[in-house]
Amino acid sequence: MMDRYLPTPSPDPSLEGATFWNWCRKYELRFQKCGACGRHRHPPVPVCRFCGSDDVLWDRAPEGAELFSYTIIHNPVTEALKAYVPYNIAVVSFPDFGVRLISNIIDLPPEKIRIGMPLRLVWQESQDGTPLPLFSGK
Amino acid sequence: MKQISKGTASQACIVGIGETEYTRRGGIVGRSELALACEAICRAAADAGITVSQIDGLSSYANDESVPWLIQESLGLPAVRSATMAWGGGGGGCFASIAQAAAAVRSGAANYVAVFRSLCQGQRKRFGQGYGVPHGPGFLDPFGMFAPPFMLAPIAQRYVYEYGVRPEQVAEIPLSGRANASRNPRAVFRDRPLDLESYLSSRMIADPFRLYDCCQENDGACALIITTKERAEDLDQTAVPILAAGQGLDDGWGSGGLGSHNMPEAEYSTGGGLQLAEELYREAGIGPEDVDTAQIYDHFSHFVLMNLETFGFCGRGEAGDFVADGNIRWPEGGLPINTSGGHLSEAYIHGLNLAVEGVKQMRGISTSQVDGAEICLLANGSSAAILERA
Repeated sequence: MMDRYLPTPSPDPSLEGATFWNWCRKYELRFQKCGACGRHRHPPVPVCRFCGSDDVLWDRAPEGAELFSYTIIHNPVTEALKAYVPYNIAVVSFPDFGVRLISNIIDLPPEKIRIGMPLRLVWQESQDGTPLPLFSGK
Repeated sequence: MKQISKGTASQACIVGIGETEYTRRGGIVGRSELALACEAICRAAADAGITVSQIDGLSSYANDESVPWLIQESLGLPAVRSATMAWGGGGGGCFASIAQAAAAVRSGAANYVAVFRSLCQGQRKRFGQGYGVPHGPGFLDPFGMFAPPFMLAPIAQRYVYEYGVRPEQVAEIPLSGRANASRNPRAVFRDRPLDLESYLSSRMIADPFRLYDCCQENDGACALIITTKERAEDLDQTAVPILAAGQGLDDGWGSGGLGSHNMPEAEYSTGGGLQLAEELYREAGIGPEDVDTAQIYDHFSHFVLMNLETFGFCGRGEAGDFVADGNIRWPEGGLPINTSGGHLSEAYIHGLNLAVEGVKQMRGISTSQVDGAEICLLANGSSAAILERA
């Protein structure tokens, strides 16, 4: 059993996010795909901003992800985070889908993190057991 | 050549400014945000030369908790005909609150609108440590993305990556702001000089933001009084015309920096506002070459660089060189910015104190007055305004 990357709150899904997290509970990362024009979007919203359709499919994320941008957090804002800094926050891009996901890279020190690097999806359970989509840079 | 269409009778003008003292976070005790808001509004009314009871409109942003009915109750306003709020938990709506006040007076919905923002952060949760994540609940918190610097740092990181901006260039934002603050007796950091070495050796908060790239957290309030040009002519105070004011999110920015970062790739490292800037200049009938001074939302240094590009003062990716060449330095630079010290060094009243400084520049009374300044831009990536010398 791997330690959690961060002692952060569990997902608190709004109505729009509920389906996203339900898929995560099955260890599947899926994004909304417009049933009419086929374009992907994130975060989940009820209507496609490209074509106006409310026909929604949930499409499994492709294998290929890469680091679009990131930050290294040195300043813990909660007591629980003090032992975890510096930690990274990654903006992970799925070029085939044209969507990005905020996440973390769990296995690289700050100095090894580079924009454009390939990333691989891994899962870690959050405090309430919901699996979180996180990433390996190795 | 500048082509400014002089305002009609219904043009909106800023006729009053009011400020409480500005302190470090927690510096104001025993007084509420409501009390500070009322003080700032009363000072602004006195500055304008109107009675408080003439105020019949209120406008704020960032979900300010001094709600209109409490202000009305506290100030004894006979009528509040317009009460508007630019949505959102951040200061991005600061100049939008001016746009809404301007719209209210131009349309006749209200005669004198007070725009205000009030903060007593020692008495509540700290803005800078994350509350009220506006978009995508559950998509940021589990990954440790709590606070504004964390949410916005990846945009700055990508900007630095794409254009090779160096820390020595970024430093010019806090250093020039601190130099301006040294001349401003109201600035919280007026007696705290800052040099390049201290900047470069300051600790990282959220890479690439160093400590001195991050704005302060403060207590204090400020307010503006906005009315029409026609009414302003009856007042003794100098009226500062609002040539243009607007708010807006560009296409795809709804899930922007405070959300899931799904903005269009080609615009990601602008911080947003390309469409807003274009529309603002069109409404004002001027271009960036006409702007003499700018007050740019400096919550984080890098966003000032991005906004200098977005609002057309230099090309995309060129702001590092632009500021390193001395262009934003008072008094010799061609475009002195954040002449009060800005959020980094005067105080962070979430943008509205930048508007107060813009009015001072247009009245000719800034502590870092830009010689002959006729046009002042107020800007961030989601709202902006252009002021003119009366």
